[in-house]
Amino acid sequence: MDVSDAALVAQTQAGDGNAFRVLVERHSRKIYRLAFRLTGNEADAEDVVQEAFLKAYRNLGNFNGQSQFSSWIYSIASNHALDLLKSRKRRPVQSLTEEQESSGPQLTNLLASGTPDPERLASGNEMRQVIVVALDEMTPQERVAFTLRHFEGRCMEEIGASLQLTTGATRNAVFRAVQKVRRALHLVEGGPPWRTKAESGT
Amino acid sequence: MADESGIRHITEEEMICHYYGEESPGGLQAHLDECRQCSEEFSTLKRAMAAVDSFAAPNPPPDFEERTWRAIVQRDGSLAGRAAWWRRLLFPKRLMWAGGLAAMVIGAFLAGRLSITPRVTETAAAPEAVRERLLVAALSDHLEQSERLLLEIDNSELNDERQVAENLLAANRLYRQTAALEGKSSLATTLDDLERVLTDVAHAPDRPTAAQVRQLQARIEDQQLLFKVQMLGQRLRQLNQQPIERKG
Ligand SMILES: [Zn+2]
Repeated sequence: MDVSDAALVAQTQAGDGNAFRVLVERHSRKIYRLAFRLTGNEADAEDVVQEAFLKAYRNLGNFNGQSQFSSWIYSIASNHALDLLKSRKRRPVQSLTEEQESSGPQLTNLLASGTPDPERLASGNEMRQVIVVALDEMTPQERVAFTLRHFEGRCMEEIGASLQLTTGATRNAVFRAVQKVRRALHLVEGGPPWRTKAESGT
Repeated sequence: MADESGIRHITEEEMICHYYGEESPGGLQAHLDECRQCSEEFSTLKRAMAAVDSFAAPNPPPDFEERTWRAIVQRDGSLAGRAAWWRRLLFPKRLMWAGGLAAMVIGAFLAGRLSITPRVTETAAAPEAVRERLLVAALSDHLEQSERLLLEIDNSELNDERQVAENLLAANRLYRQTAALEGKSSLATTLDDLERVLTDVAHAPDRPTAAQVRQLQARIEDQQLLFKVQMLGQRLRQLNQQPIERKG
């Protein structure tokens, strides 16, 4: 029988480094996948994982035993990723324009790469690229909220609590994110976004 | 949102909430079932959301947990903890490749050779902490015996010493391997130095020449081995003198 997270937290608080190691072993993989989806690359994802566990360790005194350790560490990781994304967007103006230019051509390339064919899109790597473009076009807040909602299945209320947003603001961030996804897909798939495949095909 | 016929269709936001199973207006599902326009829109939304799933996160490398742990310990030394690696000595998962031999050696070592009774009598003490103490006691016992052996290497015969060195070798090898695996490089280095000397003593001739003994002594002195072993033993004993943590 595995020791519970709560017991491991208590042991860590009592000075047992080994207990924290078990927590790292238990949760780091999941946090990595979350972090990868938030940041879009392996190096940043690893950084987020390490930062999250370090922050958790240093703030273990503030950890409220009422909540789950897993939710808590998710929240720390999400906030660190949020800061990282914000700082990335804040980078020098010229690199921001480069970024915009590079996300533009990416989509244009996708569009130019042939007749939009949903079958091909669905089967190939291209669908993934479209999603990458859409995720990059989201604001940091939209991206984090959307990732937590879509990939991690967290509810709006919980996401809001993690990111210190009202539930309404969280919902809006998710809506805008979904719209960006649909817009990107619409650009490559063609047809008005509200039309079904059958209608746009004729 | 109502069309010419005055019917209120489902908004995009309501649909998204519905898709994620969040709170949405009552009667929404009934409307979806009846209204072709809205149900088609909902299908489009579902397709788009399914496309998002193509953005899969890669699997981190198999040693990811280990690497993460090392990285954070490196960034915060207090995590290494005084007890962090001792447990590995008792539960040497990665030494199990030796067919459980390592575990057996440790078991035998603890059962048979552990002469020091840990000064722990509190029944409420965490069993982990007690085990760690036993280990620390065992290793410091090992170092003490090694220390004695090193001091006894003089010009006389090495008969008894050879036997003692042989006995100490097996345990030493185990400690050294574990220390190395756990990244305790300075401990591993000291144990490595000790091991070489123990090997030499164990394999020494019955009646070594004075030159051979001097050579051995010179090596011990060159490496300041005696000093290192003494220091290490002292540190371990201090470790065991700290009050044991009790489970709340
Ligand atoms: Zn409708």
